[in-house]
Amino acid sequence: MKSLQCETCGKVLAADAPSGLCPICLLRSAIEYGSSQALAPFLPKLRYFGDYELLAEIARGGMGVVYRAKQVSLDRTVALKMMRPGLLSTDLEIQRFLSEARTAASLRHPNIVAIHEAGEFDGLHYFSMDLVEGPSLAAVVRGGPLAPDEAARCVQVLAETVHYAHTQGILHRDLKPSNVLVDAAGRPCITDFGVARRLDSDATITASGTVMGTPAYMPPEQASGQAGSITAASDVYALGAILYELLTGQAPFRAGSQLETVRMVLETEPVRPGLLNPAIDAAIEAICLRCLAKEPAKRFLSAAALADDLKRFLGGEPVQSRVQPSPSFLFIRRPWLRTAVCLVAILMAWLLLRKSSSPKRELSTGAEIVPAAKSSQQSEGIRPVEPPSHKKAEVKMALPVVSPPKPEPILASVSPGRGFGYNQVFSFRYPALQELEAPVELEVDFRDEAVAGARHCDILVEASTGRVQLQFDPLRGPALRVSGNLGTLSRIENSICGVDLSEVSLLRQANTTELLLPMTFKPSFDGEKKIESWVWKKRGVPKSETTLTGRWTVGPRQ
Amino acid sequence: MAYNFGMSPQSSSGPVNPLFASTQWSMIIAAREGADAAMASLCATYWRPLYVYVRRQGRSIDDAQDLTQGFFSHLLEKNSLRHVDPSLGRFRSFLLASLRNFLAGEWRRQHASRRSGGALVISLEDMTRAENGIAAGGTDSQTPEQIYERHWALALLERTITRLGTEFESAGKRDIFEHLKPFLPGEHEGTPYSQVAARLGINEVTVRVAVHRMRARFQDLLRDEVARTLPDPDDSRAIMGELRYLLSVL
Repeated sequence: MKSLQCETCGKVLAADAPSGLCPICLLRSAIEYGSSQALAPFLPKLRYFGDYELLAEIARGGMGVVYRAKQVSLDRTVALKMMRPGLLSTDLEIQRFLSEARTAASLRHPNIVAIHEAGEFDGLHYFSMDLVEGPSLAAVVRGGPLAPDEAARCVQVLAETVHYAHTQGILHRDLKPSNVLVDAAGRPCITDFGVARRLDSDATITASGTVMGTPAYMPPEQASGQAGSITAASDVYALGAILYELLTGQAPFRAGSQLETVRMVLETEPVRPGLLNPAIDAAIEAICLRCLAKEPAKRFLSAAALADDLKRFLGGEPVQSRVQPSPSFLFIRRPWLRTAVCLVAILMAWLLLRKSSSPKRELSTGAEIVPAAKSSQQSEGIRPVEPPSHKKAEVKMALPVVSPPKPEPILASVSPGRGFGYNQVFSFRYPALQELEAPVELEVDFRDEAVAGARHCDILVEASTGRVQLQFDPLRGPALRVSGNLGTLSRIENSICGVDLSEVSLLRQANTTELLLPMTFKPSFDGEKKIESWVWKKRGVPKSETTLTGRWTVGPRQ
Repeated sequence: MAYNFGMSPQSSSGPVNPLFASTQWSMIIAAREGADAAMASLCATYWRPLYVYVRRQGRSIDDAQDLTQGFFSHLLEKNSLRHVDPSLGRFRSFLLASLRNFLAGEWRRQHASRRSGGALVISLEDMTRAENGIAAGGTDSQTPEQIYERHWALALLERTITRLGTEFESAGKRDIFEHLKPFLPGEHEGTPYSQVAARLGINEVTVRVAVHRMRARFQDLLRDEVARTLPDPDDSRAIMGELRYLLSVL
């Protein structure tokens, strides 16, 4: 009798193996599947949820649970995403969530999972959408890299879909393989369009209260917390990251810790796909790496341009992307083309400098609005379409026009400790702000020495306008960000502390300006903390001389 | 050549209960009321662990066949099932305990030849597999109970795979099932997805999705099969516990 081996675990199959398959692997996968379902004590209690009957749990993530549900009134099966209680705690967050759901619901495309309705029932926020019964791209690629043609075809469809959304003025901002579901016909469908962008479904909460998202698919401008400069090119980057993973079987950047991954995203070039998988030819590799360029201007100008190049690749035509032999130089064979590119680069840089002298950023209830470039370079034919209930939006195509200008290094100090226990006032001092043209930007890290990870707080102060912006945990997204004029803001809060913004004040003295930030820490954040803060010199690189450290204690031990 | 475990079916006097009863317990209740199809289904699934147990007790092949057949006939007797109570616990435990009782009772031996209820037909092929399994599978250090439980687990998996295959078949996709079945246990180094895609004439992503859905369906069916053997089929924790236990006995 021939002795067979299980191809998954390698054990020898006994003669009585059911249908010739390994019984151990079969049982093991069923157990893992069952455990990951987190067999819900939740489910029986809430079988009937408003108009919906919850049938089974499909997925579970940091932001909540997805159920297969029957919509009783319409007698159809849908997917229902129920937000974890407490995730949307402030009215501001709830308003944003609802209006974004409304915006996303306006998208109608065969490759976008349609959102039906959003609301609240019994204190729990939810939204319902099409049910796609199938794995995500993340699960599909776990079986190994796809053939280059298959990968290209898939990303082409995704790029065309994303471009449609861009023409409707909506960015996705959180594209990654787990946000693309594939149905039985092999059709990819994008979920979470603009809705849960700040509620990263892969967020994990550690014991010290640190929450972080997955930076592996985020473009540098997003990973470094510069939410204002996210454009269509940011979505293009994410599509490139997806293409990379489909081609090679792994994400472009993957490190031991979230912080390390962010560092790689900002500073390292990805390993060339062709080195990881010899089946990948230079053309598709070039397309992929172009999407992953650190500078948004170097990527495809639009998702449609990416789709076109992929179409060329699939049709055997020459692609427009060029292979770059080294990270920082554009390899162009024709001299006249090189000159033209240089001219374009100079022109773009000039526009950039012009734009940066008058930043205009508005907080809106809809999708993030980025002011339009007055002279648009591209002839992509992108017409801004006005979504009915929001201000006119034009999705920026590639020109990073409104990145906040990076301040020159300045001396600043931060000292904690006025107050005691849970209520402390932090003081941030800078040289007299009126003399500065550029906004001051500080990042503060609250580090708990016992556990790895830190909470970040970004503070941006514009002297000329008196505008202040505070953002907690930029990697988690702009949710915990509030901006406005001093005196008109209310409160910003996360799981470790709250800041009463109505009490924030700016004291102007002769040579210095002091920003006073009263913070209330929550008991869960008790203990010895180390605080670090630095001023950003340029994107991603803090100036070490301005790094300040201090220690303080939160809680009754003071 | 088939071994007949029982006479030709007699028509039942009670109401015919559906074959797909929600638990094996209700199958017994159905059998009590004379629904032969239900009992036949029960016996067809679980005869092998019982047979193997009897053989491991040291009985000859002939004796074991007789005794297993007799036990099922005994189960079918309306009288003997009157006091069966689902709160007795897991079906596999109940079945083994009943078998032990049956084997121990001398007077039951005498009634072994009494036929009632439906015919249980075990093919020669199945018998051979059972015997090969006995020869190759268990080690001498395993108790008959351990061997019984191991074969119970295998029978459960076998039944689930068959159910899955039947679902594909009724959708006209038997061919696809045969191609995808090797991927059921997990990812492996063997046939790449691209080859399967080429053979089936569809693209690779569709193959992977189909495998994923097939696995999910298998896992649902397996949990359902296990649930049917437990006193409370809705107790998810108990289902997981049973699955883990069965993994440990393999």
